[in-house]
Amino acid sequence: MESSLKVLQDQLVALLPRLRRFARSLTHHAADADDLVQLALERALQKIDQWRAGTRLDSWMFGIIHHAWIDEIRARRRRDRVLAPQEAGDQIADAASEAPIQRLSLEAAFAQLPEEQRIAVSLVLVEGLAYKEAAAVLDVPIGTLTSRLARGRATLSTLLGGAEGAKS
Amino acid sequence: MSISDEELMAYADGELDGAQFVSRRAALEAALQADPELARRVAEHRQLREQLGTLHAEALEEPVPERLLTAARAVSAALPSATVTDLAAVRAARAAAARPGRRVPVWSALAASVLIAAGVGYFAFLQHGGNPLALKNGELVARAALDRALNQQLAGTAPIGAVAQMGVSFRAKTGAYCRSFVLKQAHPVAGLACHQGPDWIIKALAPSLSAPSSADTYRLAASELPPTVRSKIEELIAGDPLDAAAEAQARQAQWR
Repeated sequence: MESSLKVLQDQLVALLPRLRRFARSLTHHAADADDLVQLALERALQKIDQWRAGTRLDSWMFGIIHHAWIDEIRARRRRDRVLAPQEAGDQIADAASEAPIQRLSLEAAFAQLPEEQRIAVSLVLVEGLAYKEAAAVLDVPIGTLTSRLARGRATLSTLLGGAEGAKS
Repeated sequence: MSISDEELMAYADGELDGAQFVSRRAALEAALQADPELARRVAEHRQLREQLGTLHAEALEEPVPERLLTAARAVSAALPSATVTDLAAVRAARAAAARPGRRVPVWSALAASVLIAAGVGYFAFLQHGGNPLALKNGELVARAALDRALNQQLAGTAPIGAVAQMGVSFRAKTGAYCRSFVLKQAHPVAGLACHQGPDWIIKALAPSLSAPSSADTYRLAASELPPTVRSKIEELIAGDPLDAAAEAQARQAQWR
């Protein structure tokens, strides 16, 4: 009995490396990513009664991390707006489309993706979720997920130097 | 037949692998055979997917910080999945918890077992009046009825419906007040909490060695506490435990 309980106990612990990786995709910063995971775990404990049997633990946690991040971003943007009125997302999008013909590292290219595309790419192509699962994590229709993913991929191909593949 | 990039992408990602996509897949594969440009785009999608699989891969290798492990254990111990995904554990817990003539909530027993397995943790999240423990900045803190008991209840008193029994109270070397307690439930859990800011921070938590006596005048001696809690008291304590008068005074001063 102890061993089977140990397995349960370990489920979430075993997920931690992937949660940290996902959080890094969002924050681009290892320490911030760990703070985000910590925040998400605290939220998970608060809303533990919302967890439903049969839900995948990874999807559930990805969703909570995503929400925590969005809240954090919103708070940050409210702070930043005083200094820089333009939405960060717009700037990033412009930077991506006008990027010089120059090969970027995978990480640098990924970091330039607009937020929504980056998250879709991260869930499907880094974390390996199916489209349906990723759409559920983000609580968007599958068509929305697919289009973010396609646009994210096209941008990445351009930034990474495979320019012809950028057509979408 | 015109093929959208999204469809090529879905194909490259294995989204069309299911039996329901047989005809769509067949049509697509025929088109790929006929058009090298399409085939090249599929290959490009696959290559990008492969590259991205390595992104932030270092996060998978690095040791996980202790604060995240603690938080994750608290969450996983509270996950009701235990009762659903592991029937064997539930049955075992139920059998262990069953006492003649007494109905014992499965959850309490199971959580206590998890606690034993983990060495530290979490329990009885179905307590009346809300969760007695919560995570705050990576630390377990007392909440709801346990928080009230730590603030209000004196050792040796047990109001009707009290969730916890207070043991020894003392001042730690840091100057903070600390109190040991036993949470009353089917499988009692003993703990030590220290007052810090507005909260009681849980410094130790372990299954109690014996059920607390039901006698209201019972004062839990430190020697009866589980070793984990006892050694934590010994580590933190400055001087002697408070006597009844000093304890009442400390309460009056709101443990500050």
